[in-house]
Amino acid sequence: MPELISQYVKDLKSELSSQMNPYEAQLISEEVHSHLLDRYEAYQSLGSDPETAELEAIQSFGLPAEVASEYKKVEVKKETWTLAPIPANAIYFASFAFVAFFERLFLGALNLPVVALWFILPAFSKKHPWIGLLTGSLFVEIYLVLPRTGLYDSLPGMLAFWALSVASWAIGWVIRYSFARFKNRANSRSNRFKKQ
Amino acid sequence: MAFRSDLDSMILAVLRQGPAHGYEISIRIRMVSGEVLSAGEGQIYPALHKLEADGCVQSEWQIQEGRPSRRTYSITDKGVKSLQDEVSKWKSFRSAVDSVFGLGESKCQS
Repeated sequence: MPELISQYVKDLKSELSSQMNPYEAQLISEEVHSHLLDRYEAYQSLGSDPETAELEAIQSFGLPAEVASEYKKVEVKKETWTLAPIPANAIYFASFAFVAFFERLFLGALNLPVVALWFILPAFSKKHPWIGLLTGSLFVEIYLVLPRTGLYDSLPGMLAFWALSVASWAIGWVIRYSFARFKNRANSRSNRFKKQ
Repeated sequence: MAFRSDLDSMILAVLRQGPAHGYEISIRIRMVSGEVLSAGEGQIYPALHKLEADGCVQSEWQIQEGRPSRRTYSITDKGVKSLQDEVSKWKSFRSAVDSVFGLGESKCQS
């Protein structure tokens, strides 16, 4: 395989990987590689020496960064079922406001469904709503914990709350990443492969 | 009404004649236009990517012995409709420009 073309394809794949998932970048690079080899053979058939044919094939395609920017221009925004940060923040804040205002109904304890919601929501939000996490935690601290215990006693609980929230965000990230990979693999398997 | 000649329409027009891979599309555009038009080869694949996402073309991979796999594209019904719309717009645009240049029948009576 012509080396310059192989190096070009590697550079292109690197550029594309920064803006799309690696599997898709691999497919595009393979397609471009095939194109460049066709162009290389065409130039050779016109009498160019191998090195010149390689350079001309690459030049006719453009720099990897330019090609990658063309893909960026045509990037199709996919619909997502995940929550945007503002609604996620609103739900976080509302969940703790609900607990605070209906404290009597839950005998001073945090409502378990609300707590579950607190840890499940990061799996579905696009970015972890740090503002919601902070305000929610402060809300719990001010309205529920401090009146009963001192600041020192409430710190372990708050730290545990933060640690579990970070863990839930990490789990959410793994879920979203795995789902995206599964979807891409399913899409590529649906393409029929025929032996030429 | 302004007509904007674009690569997407040219690709669809080429694929209307039959399935082709990216390299073949670039060659056909040049040959059919008598070497007047040539598509930037680095722009063809992003355009094909977008057309496929829009549902105007579909692709099929072909494994080649000892070479990277090649993807062949074909036009869909949606692509044919889209091309027909573009051709219609082009005809209107060309007619308007011809009139301004005095090459066709003027739409205005003085």
